[in-house]
Amino acid sequence: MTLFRYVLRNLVRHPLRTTLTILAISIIILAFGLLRTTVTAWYAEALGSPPDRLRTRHAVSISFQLPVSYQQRIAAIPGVIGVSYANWFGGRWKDGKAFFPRYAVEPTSYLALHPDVHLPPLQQQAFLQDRRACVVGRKLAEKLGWRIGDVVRLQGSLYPGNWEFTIRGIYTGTSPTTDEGNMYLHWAAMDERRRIEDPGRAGTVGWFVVRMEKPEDAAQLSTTIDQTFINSTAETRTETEQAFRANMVAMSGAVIRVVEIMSVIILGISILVVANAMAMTVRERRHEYGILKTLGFRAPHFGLFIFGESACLSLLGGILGVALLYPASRWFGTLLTRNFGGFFPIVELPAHLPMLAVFLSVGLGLVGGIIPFFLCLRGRIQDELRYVG
Amino acid sequence: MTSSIIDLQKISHSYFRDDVEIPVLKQLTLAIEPASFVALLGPSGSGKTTVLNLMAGFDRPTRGRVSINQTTVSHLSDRQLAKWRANTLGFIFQFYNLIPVLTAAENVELPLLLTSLSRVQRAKHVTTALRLVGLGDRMTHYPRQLSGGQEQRVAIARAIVMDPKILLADEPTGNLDGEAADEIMTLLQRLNAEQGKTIVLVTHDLEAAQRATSICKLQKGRLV
Repeated sequence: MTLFRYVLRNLVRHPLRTTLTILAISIIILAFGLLRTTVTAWYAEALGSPPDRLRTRHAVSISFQLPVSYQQRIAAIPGVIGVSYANWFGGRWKDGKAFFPRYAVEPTSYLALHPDVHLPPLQQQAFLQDRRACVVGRKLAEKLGWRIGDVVRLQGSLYPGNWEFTIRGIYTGTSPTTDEGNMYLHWAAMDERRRIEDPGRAGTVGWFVVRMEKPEDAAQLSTTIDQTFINSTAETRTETEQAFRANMVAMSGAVIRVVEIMSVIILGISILVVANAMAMTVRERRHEYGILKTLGFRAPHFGLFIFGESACLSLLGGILGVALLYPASRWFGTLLTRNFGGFFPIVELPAHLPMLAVFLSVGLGLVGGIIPFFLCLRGRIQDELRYVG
Repeated sequence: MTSSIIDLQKISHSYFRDDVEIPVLKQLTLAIEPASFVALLGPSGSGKTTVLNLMAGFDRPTRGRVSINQTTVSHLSDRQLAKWRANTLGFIFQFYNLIPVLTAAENVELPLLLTSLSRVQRAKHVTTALRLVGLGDRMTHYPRQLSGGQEQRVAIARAIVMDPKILLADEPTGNLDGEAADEIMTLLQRLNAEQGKTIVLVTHDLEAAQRATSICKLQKGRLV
């Protein structure tokens, strides 16, 4: 016999209570895991951005445009090996319920700077040759049932009127963080029509994508680019693509902040579940603990009994929760990408999360045992021996 | 230097309930010689269990001195008390107080887990103790699989497994029928006679008390 065996025997003393407590903890860990998966998915694309790309936008706001002529001046800066540009196209497809991001890009340079957006050569050629063409991501095509050759009709919002684009290619991501839920169309086609209908905004872009020779030069190169256009009518702000996307995410981050707070609150609930179960246990075993005290057992031993039991309970709940988390996160990911693909292009269980959840569950179990432990120590032997549970 | 193994000197003890002092023991002096078997006999409320609690160091006297085996109990810290108690005293309770999720052998082994003995050595001690109380064939039985008398014998085995000099027994036959009670008293007598254990038996049962070598009668907190 060992002291730990006594802990294990105590675990199965009330099978129903133990089972219910483990189930409660597993559901909490499952909910925590799904919430953290949601948060990670929110930031996934930003975190997955390659380190050798910069984004240059208007210094005031992303909603202000920059002259397309900046492309040559940026490309001439030493350390820059490629420049492309893009616009947020906006618009609405059908009733607008199926949201997906739409970008007007300069396709040759854009695809060259985004090797993670993979198009089969023939599809790429077809896209480049046809100004009325577009390409869509694999997930988006699957979600909306699109095939190559289909015509996508959009109702313009930023750029009014009816727009038609023929799907010439379906791209796939070469990296797990590549968003396969976008639509790319020709910036030239958009600008051509803008010159007629809205000449004031013609020849402008939303942002430039800049590829650097050396990623470590990002800070210096950003400053150089911004200084190039200082005191111009459209000053720029350049930052890494990762920072750019993180800022975009942060703009709508209030909801995700709530999700983050909820994930912490839910851990607090887990502590209460364990503490409640252990408090009941300690109260029931008051008499038994009195006996053990007469035999010479002291605080460290009761610490082992109580914290050991609460940690084991939580660990089992944590393991079960993590086991459920794998299929649940797959189902949840499908649900999110299907319904909110624009916000959650990639939903995957973060690699570190299962281990974190297990460690957290043990930690929470230990915290949950603190009050019951002190309740146990507080008891006087003569009172405990008289106690009838 | 006294030759007594248990020495209570002018012990007074009171409980407080709602700030009202309730005296339980009044100037009680008691000396118990080594290897004696003493019964503390008295009606409910006479202070028998309080005397036992003071001897065990569960409580400290309001006044007076409790000395057990040359150690002044009230001078020990809680930590020292726990260690001293484990090595010096064995407890036998009315309701056996075995741990229900542990077998007879595991219950007996509990105090040994606090020592540095190896698993094999512990097993040897447990077997010896259980054989001594006549339960060598019940080692793997759980308390629910034992009769009341057998449970009490397991409790006695647990009390003696550390080979303490003193056994404190609080109404050990109070929950047993006549035959089982008789077996337990016989066992205690044997432990006293053959092992030289000093036994303090608290009881209100005259028949049980008569099995001791001396009887101290308590009434309203005083020896009479």
